[in-house]
Amino acid sequence: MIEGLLLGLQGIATPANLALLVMGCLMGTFIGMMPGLGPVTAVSLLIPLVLTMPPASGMVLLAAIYYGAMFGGSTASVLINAPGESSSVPTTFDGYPMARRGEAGRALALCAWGSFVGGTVATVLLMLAAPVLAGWAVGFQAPEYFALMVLGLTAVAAFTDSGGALKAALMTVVGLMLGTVGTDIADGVERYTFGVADLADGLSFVLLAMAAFALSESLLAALRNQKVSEEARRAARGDVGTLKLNRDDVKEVAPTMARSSVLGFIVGVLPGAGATIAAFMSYAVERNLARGARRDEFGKGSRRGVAAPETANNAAAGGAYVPLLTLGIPGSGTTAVILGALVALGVQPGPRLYLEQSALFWTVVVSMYVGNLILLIINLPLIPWIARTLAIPEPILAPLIQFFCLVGVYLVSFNSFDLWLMVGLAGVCLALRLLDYPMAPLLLGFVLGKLLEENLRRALLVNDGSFAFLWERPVTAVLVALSIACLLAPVVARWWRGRQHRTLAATDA
Amino acid sequence: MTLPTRVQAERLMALALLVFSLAYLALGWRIPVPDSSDDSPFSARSFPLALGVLGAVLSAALLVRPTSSEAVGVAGFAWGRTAGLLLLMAGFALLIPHLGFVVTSALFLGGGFRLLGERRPIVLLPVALGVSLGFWTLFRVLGVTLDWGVFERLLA
Repeated sequence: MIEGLLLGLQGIATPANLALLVMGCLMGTFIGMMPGLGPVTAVSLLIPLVLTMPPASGMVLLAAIYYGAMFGGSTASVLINAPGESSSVPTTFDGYPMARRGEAGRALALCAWGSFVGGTVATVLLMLAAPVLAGWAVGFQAPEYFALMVLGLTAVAAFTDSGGALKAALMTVVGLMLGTVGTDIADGVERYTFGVADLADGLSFVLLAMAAFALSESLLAALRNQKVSEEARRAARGDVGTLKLNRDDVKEVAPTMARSSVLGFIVGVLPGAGATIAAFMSYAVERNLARGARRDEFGKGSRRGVAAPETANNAAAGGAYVPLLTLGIPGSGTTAVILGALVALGVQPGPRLYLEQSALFWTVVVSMYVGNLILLIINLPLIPWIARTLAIPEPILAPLIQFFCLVGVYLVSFNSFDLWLMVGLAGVCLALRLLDYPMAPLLLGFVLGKLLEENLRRALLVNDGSFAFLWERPVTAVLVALSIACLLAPVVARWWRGRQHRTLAATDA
Repeated sequence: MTLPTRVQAERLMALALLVFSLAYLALGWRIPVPDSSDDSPFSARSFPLALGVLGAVLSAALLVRPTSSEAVGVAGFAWGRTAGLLLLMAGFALLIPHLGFVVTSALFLGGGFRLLGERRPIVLLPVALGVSLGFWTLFRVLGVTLDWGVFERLLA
């Protein structure tokens, strides 16, 4: 492990990579701070830039943007009660009340320190877990990979926090369908190209990521007529108070941060259960553990109430990198986008990455740690200035975001056809989002589709066309059982909730 | 024109996805299978057919039992402006091969600012043109020359 760390430090300690780290953290924070624009949007918006770089630099920038955007989302939660995305929602419960009583700076410092501690603990646990997982997974063959991908897809669909499992499952299938467009590698035949030469290589991942996230988000904001709030104007004046924590603050939140780091990491490792579940869970745990006056503070400006979700969501972000880097299975929408970018960079995440490209692996791990340090040292003091961007009027912001998307896609292929396709898809995604169809399963299905098909094909060829490999191989059987459990989980949960309601109603009657 | 209710909209979307899945399935049957794959348990057609069936079943389930969450009010939604933004983006795709990057970008940005309510000329033209030229210059520095389009033809 020490050699790995030294390899990683060597990889990161170039002026270019350090500059990319700082730039990624700042850009991610800036974008993540915009209401409604979270880590997924930040990563998808900056993918065209990432794709122009060598793989190591691209991965460093992606990690920095991810962490930066998580931090930016928290800033919006505290300053203007408008979380950048769902994992920052619990931060508003106590962060915004703290800001209202003039302690915005202290709340932001808690967010920064919580993110740092969570990210650091996650990085250490990643360093310990990755070799074990990679060693275990190196023996995987096509049946195991197929079952693992099915588990990843079903878990993300089952645990989505929008629209319900049925809609998420359908979006997964639609994503898989979009992934079949192009030329089938095995048979060399064109599928769903309608004779259009531009579709022979399939749909562009960048195009779909932009349409599904950044573009549809900005169109939704325009549709809902979102205006800059009074809180945003006030926050943009930059008056946030002290950005320091005193000894009492540290004593108060240290145990919370320790517990939330571990909880967040474990939740983050599970496919489908990402930063959002981690943040809500840790908030609930800390509120239940608090006693007396400390418990009453929750919801009114509790320091633990800010530290817990912020630590957990960053730890979960680090945890999500475990299945991504060692198994090649993304566990969330953001890591699905990151996986797509890695594949486009020519990097195939999985056990081989750790075993055969260890320099690349350790560079990413060390960059995650250094990125968290940069957030603390650079981003936090710059908050009063970065916050001024909160007052950018919507008439200016929305077209700018749409322009970035158009230019991003245009730069990949210099092709009007891709622009037309993206605009069309953005309209469709807008309609889907209005009706609560989640986008993360769509993108995950698209990213994993070709690999899923290829592994299924190989598994069937080796087993003479029989599906018996699903239950005859022990690891595959366990993964399939877990997938079935994920599919049944929402049904069981609904039945359980219904039973509890009936019990309560019977008691009241 | 009255907007559909939430349940009607849910059913419409489910129906659209069902039609999409059935079309995908029908086109999947027409994927050619090379002779070499005739005896293979898995061909270029297999995965699409499975997906088409799955998509049809799931969207039919949603059609029969829409799973709408709490109805989200659409009062005050700016449908016209959003359609206008989509049209502007389509205009960008249409014009960029002819007018070039700078002019098309400036037109898009200026049109977008204006559509969303920015009226001040001091913002409209300078910001739109400034961002377009700024991007052109940035990419030039990064080694990517973007098309000048109409200017190139005028100067030629």
